[in-house]
Amino acid sequence: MNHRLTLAAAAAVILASVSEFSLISGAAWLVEAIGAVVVVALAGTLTRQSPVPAAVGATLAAGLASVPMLVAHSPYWKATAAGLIVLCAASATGLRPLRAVAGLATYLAALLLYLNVLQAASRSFLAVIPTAASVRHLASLVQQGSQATKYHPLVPATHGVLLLAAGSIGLAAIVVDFLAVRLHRPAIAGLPLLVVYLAPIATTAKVGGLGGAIAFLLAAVGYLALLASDGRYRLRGWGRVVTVWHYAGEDERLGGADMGALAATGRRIGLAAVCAALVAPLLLPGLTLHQLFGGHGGAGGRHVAVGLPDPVAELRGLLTRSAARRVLTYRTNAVNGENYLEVYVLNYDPAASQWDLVRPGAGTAVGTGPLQPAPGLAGGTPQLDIRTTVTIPEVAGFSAPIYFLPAPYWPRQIHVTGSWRESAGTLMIYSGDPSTSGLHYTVSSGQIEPTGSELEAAQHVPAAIAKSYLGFKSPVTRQLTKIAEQVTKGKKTQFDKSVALERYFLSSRFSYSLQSNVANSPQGLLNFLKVTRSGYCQQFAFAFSVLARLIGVPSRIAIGYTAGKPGPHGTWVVSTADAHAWPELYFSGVGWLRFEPTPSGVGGQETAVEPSYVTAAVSGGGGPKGGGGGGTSSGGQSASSSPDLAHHVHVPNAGGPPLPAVGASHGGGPPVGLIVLAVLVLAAVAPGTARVITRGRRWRSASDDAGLALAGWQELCAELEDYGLRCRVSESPRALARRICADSGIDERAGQAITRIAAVVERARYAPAPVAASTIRADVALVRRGLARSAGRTARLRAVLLPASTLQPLQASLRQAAGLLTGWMPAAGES
Amino acid sequence: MVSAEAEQAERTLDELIPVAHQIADAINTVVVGKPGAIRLAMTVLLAEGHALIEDVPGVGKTLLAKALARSIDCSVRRVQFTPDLLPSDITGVSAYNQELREFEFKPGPIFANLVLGDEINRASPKTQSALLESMEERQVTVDGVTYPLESPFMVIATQNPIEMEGTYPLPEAQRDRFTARISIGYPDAAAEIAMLDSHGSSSPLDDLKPAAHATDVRALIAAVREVHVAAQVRQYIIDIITATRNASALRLGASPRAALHLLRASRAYAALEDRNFVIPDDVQLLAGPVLAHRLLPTAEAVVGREQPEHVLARIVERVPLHNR
Repeated sequence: MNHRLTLAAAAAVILASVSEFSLISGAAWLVEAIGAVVVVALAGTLTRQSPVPAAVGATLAAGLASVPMLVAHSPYWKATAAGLIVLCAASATGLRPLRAVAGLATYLAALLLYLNVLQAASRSFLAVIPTAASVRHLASLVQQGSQATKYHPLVPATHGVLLLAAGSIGLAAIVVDFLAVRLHRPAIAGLPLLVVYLAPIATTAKVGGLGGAIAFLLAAVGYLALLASDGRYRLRGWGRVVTVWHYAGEDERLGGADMGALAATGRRIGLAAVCAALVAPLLLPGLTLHQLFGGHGGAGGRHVAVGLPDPVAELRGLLTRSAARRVLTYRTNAVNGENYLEVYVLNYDPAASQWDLVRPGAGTAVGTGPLQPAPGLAGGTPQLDIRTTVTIPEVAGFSAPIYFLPAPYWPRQIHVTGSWRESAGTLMIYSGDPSTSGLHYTVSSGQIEPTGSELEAAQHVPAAIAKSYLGFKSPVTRQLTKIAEQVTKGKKTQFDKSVALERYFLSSRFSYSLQSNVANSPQGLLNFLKVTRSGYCQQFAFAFSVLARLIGVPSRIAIGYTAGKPGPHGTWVVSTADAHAWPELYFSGVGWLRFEPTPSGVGGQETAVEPSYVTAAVSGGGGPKGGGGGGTSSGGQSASSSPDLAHHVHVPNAGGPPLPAVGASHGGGPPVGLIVLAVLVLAAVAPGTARVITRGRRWRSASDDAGLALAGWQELCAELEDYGLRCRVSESPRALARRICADSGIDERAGQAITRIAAVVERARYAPAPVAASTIRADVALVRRGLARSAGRTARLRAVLLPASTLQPLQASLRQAAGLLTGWMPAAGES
Repeated sequence: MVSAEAEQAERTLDELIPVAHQIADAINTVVVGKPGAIRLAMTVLLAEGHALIEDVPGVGKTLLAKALARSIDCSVRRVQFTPDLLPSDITGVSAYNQELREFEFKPGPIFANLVLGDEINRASPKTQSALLESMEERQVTVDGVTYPLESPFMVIATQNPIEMEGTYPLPEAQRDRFTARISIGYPDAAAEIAMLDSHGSSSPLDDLKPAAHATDVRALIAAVREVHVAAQVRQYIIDIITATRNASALRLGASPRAALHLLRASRAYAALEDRNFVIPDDVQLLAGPVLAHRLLPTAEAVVGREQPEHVLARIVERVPLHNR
């Protein structure tokens, strides 16, 4: 019986499955998966017994697991189950095909029984034997679990997800156990292990970083251990390696040492391979981690995650429909047309150079209580309480396997049927349940009405926001920055600049056209700004957001619907033609504010409305340079402008620093360099300083002759070590003195000093009474000078800057750690 | 005799050591160019031990033994070990005295201060065993009567390791009783020429005069016992002994008796070096001669032609001295 190999196979599966931590939240799944792997390993051990016990086990397991089939009404099920049991029983004859069938049945039956006990014990007979009800329950759990896979990782650890995880890891364990232990092909068993390990990479889970490296290390170690234990087994098959020739100076351990050396070599190769695998990606700059499915191809290539929608493509599809179709109707207490319904939030992906849907994280479940607070919104900011009751007759608008609920920003509370989740940060509301037709829900939201003082206040962008929403990198950044600076010239505050930007896009030099086919790329953006100047909401929103980032305002894109048109009986009707993309800019104390750079009205996005705070700022502060005035804006019909706001926006804010966020991020350069330099200098002088300190402490701590002698000896050894002359463990003082005088080439005076030191130390250590050691310090200094004279310039410098006696303990402990890992110990501890 | 001994017990090591050097010098005039072997033989003498001189024929094994014996004024007996030698030929027999009508003990050659056992491995193990009691316990028991042996008592045995025909290897128990095995080795060219000159015409052995009396040797032995051995050195000895027991190339490690012998020999060696304390160098130097002949290599080591001496040398090299 090869229990070691069985254990190694099970451990390899468990270690490979650690990477699923990036898929499923919590650790409960791992516990259940370990259980499944253990059950499979036990079943595998059973199948490898001699035919009769294996057959008995197989028959028992298959019989228990097929109870639901036996009691089913259908005669076919009964016959199949009976046939299976008979086959398992017949494997007692030892016929190979029968044993193979029985083995497979044992594995699967054991796994099924385990999962049944785990998830459907209450519906089982005696809590163990599966029944039709328990199997149905398991099936429904599997369905539920596969629903959850549509969510963006981490998926919550529901029963269905746990069952799926335990089941799939158990299946992988079956394959690994069969390949590695039964067939002795552990190398091939790496394939199912790889599948288990790569599962998160096939999704949009965040992999890489330290966690990714650890997961990789664990998986690699598990696989290598499996290979090693198989190699060990094979070597055993050949008997012990007997060598007659034993090298002098080698380890005295005869016999067993050969195996150990081989195993250590194997471990070293494995370690080197793992290190190479970790280091190679760092050395190859072009090699970045990316998803397996849907890479970052060209301009058309989309970063589509499994189940996640592609808002940009959807938007274009909706807007270019030949006939507009009604998407939803709603009733609201909002009086203006600013009640935009937000569906998606997009952020710029520097790696792909395009705007992509912000992947919804696990988020929080939407209940009856209040939803998450709006990021960056201070308590005192005035807001209009909006209540919107939406009816979606059938899915016609933005839809995908994961459905995102249209809701005004910022949703404070929502009453809706079904299981919905709200993603953190972006406040998107989504569900994996696609049955949204006939949906009826009510959203309470806060329409933010910032005061002028808030907008003028100095920007304090949190690091998290700055990190995610300020980045923009492309070859044309310089040209884009120039445009942005020209447009915002003369404006003091960030908000004023943003307003200027918006007016720039609303000016007559830009026109609205659904026919525009500008690529979603920095080059396309420059083309749009300089050449074509024609596009629809997508181009306007993207261009505005990029320019906002270049002047230091965090920005993102929202995609959804405008407020639509007023319908009969006080309702509002939203059609596919109202699909829209708009930028949102971040201001401290206010959070995300909607801007509207897309031309509205006839010949534009028909139902687009400029935000009231922008129109107020414009009317109060005068039109920006080159602005086309409010004429293009037809949506200002009910703009409730606040005089307070207009007043404050008008007052120039000379005191505030213009671009604190950007300045901080760029100003971090030189100090980092200085710090690095300082650290390097400190690191360079540290060993030498430590040596000097140690020397002083040694001499100070010596009080009597014996102590002085001891200190002298330690100092002598340290000095010699600094100059590359090692004291051997078994060398007595006089032997050392003899060797140094003979071999090191130091001059006669230093040699005599060493001999004197040795004599003093010898008497201090071994004689009944020590002799006077008052001259020992001078002698040690003499030896140091002698060593320095006899050594070359490099050796002298090294002795001062990198004294080996100080570094040696560090190196030794490092070496020991490496030795523990590789089993390769220098010949120490022989006694 | 008793009064002389009481008087000499007062003498310190510093006063006595010149005597030891005189003995060594005397031997040196006979055994040319082998100060190391002589120093070792003197060490064994002062350590109250027994020496086994093992080397190829003709390098002066017997000469060294005889020179040592003659340079001390004491009783010396020589036994030529032959295959037909009986135990009673060594220990002595009880013979029936017809005049007195009782058994009378006739002491064998073992009753002497120095016993030269030449070619000891030519006698049967039965005869070799006759030495066991006397060497360890310094007494002889014949017919139920125990006769003590006079101090100093030293057995100097020689054996030839090359010739195997008609020899009986010494049993382990016997080997363990020898404090040190001394190999003489070939002299260097200059010493050999000197030897041709001195030994060519007459034997210098005949002209050798005793350099010391047995009482001097007894006092020396007593003084050597007082040589200081630091705790670190004792620990070092035990470390080496333990290492031989753990070495995988050795089937049999060193016995506690070996540890004791190593300690005594180290004391004697330190005394001969005019030191009143033992240093690890003494232990390192004596580890080979004192321990090697007691160790048994494993079959693998034998096949690998690895001698216990080599194993011992490695152990000495690796066992750490508690230096820091």
